[in-house]
Amino acid sequence: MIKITSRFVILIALLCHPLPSFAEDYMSDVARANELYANNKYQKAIDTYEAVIQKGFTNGQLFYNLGNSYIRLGKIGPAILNYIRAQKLIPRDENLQANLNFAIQQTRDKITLPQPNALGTLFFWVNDLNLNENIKLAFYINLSFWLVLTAWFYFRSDLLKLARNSLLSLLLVAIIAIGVKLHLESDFKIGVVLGKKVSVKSGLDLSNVTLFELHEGALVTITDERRDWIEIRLDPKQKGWVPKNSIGI
Amino acid sequence: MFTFKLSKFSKILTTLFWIALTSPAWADDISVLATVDRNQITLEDSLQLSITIQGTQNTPPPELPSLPDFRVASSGTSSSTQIVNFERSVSIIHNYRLTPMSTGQFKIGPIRVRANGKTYATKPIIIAVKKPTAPDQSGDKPVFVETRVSKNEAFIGEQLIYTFKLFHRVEAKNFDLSMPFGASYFQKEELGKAKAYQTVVNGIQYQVQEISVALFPIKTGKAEIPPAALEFDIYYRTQNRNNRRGFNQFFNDPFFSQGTRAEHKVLRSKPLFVEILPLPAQGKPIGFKNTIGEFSIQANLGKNDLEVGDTTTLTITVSGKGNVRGISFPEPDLKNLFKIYPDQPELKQTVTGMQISGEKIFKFALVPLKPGPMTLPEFTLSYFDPVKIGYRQVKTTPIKMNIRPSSTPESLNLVQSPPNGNTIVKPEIEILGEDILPLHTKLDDFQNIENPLNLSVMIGFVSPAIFFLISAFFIQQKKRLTTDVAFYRSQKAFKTATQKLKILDHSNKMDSKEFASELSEILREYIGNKLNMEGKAITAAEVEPKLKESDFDTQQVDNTRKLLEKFEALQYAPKTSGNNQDLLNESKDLIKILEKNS
Repeated sequence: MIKITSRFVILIALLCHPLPSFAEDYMSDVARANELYANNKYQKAIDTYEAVIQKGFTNGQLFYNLGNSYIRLGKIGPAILNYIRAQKLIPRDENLQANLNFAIQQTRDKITLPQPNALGTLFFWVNDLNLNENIKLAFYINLSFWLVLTAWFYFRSDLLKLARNSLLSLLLVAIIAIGVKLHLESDFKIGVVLGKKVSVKSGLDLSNVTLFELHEGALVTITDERRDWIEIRLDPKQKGWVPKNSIGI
Repeated sequence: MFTFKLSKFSKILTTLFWIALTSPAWADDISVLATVDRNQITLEDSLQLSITIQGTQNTPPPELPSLPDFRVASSGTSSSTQIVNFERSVSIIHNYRLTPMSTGQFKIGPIRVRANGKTYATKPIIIAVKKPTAPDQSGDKPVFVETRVSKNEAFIGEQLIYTFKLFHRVEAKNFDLSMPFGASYFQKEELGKAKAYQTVVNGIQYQVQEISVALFPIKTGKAEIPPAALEFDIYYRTQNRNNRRGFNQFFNDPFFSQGTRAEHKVLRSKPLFVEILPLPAQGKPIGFKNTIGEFSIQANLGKNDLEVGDTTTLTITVSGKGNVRGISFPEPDLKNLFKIYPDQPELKQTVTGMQISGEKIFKFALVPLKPGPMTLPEFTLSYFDPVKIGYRQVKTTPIKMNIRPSSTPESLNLVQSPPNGNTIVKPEIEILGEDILPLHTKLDDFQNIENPLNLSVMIGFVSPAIFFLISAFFIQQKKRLTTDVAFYRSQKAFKTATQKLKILDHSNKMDSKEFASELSEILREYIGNKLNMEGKAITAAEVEPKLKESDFDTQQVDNTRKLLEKFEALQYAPKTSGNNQDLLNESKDLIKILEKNS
């Protein structure tokens, strides 16, 4: 029994401990890109940040820095796109919010981020945590619940029973919150107009009627994707189709 | 046999077919070709650029080079797969529509395509863009555009009307109008939806699409309104000439013999120039706020008879023609008599004909500070009339008021700044500029974020539950051992028997009788513990039904009975002969088998 318990504790410790990441391999690249930015060599900084991202490195601060570099070159569309990508990973970063608002103000259409729907309002904390943090929260609640349940099995007391029931409720809410987060991230994808001007068409062909026009940096909600076209929506009344390569997701 | 052979053959054939169909194309087989539908166009035309990727369909879109002299729009992709003589060939064509923005010779390409880790480039294509051949004034053009501005000379702030007209006598659809207005010189206001009507030009009837906007100059100087560009498709009806006699005569009807040919066109207007004049300095009234047009002013008061501390609303309405949005009205100077709270102005703008007019309503809440009869003075608005070329002033009529002393003076709690200004006024921070916030430079923040939904997370989620189940099992076992005697005896039976057999194994001085007696006792005690009964008193005959009741295997029950009978025979026979070690091993094996199946 002791042997099994000790092995289990080691396993949990290994799972909780952050695994050695390959971030260190790219630290020098990131530091070099930061230095290029500081020396006003924005295009070179962008190339270096993009190269790190191309290698599969995902980090909110990296997207933020890339967004800043694009803004310095006046490329508002890619800047907003990278800020949106950063927001998924570092949603509580105040500098990011400020820079995103600044970038939106530079756009011609000045479209702000869509407000959370009823589900997002109900699970209000979901948007303040990234997916990793939501999973970690559920993970620790899960661990606590089973430990309390085991303790309650040994020493039955009202306090442990209350803790068990509370943790079970929290665990259910945390698991549903992960589902809500995944749903919001997959079904309410935000896209950014990358071209100077994009004509939003009524159908999947350039010969269709132009419903309205959007300009670089405009934020849109992606609702459908077919062939090389994607359906975008500003509000329930304003939606249409644009070529896929004109929108960054 | 024949069936088997045919089935095998068909399987091989199917496999070969699938290999042929699904095998990836070799990297060396890939080729990329860029073609255009024509290489000499005018500014009114567009060209179709097709990039054909032969050998694969799984490539990212081609990387087009920078084409500042063209407007590029994707016109879709088409892919094809062909199997000829078991050889599969695939291709994908990316189509783009290029609309020229200026004249000259331009190079398109090389266009790069990444496929299978390699980069392929097309040969550059030279395109010549010329001015349209037919001049605008040619009377019988099927389609032409025209722009017009209401005045070539205007004062700053004066309303101008900028009109775009498309004349066409062929079917036209899918309009895409780009109508820049020179945002550095003008402020634009919409004048409603586009109009469609018919007109006759030089005896030819045209359909006209017309759209107008109001422009308000914001800067003096020679202002340019850049050319407007209209992209659209025109449809020509064509006569079908290859009708044959006989059968096709039946269909000799315009409905069947006419076809439609679509052509994408781009028409540009000429740039327009407007001289923006400054407002005359002579006669400019004091407090003039760049209000241009023709306006009237009216003042109304909510209540004229009120107490000190009550609130009434002063409404000043400015209405008329011109840039109503730009009208501003200062807060009335009544500070010693009233506490004044200004409200957000309300704008009502309408378009009558081509003229922007409307009213702007300024509201002020007035709280009287002193009792007594009072007269609100006349309020003045100065504006510049561009028609009469002169400054004008309009005034409201004075309004009489009666302010009574407050009936509840003790509850009056008005806040008013002392005239000496002894209070500390927090200075308003002036925003001088805006910029983005700096980079993240702390390298510890740059940790790679792995995909959170991975196996270790799943294990992490499931393992506490497994831990709980294991713990629960052991806790349950431990609890049962303390409360359930039968379970305790059953659990400990094998261990006790094994220990006793081990002790017996080490005692070599026993004779066969005594040894058999000991073995018999150990075996009976084991059975007794397993079945929760007094085992030492049980006989070989009693063992059989008891074990059968507990669902032991018949063969094992039989072996147990036989072994116990053997022990009894050895104990009670006058002469005993038997190998102790064999008996011990036999007992050990039997107990092991019984334990395994218990």
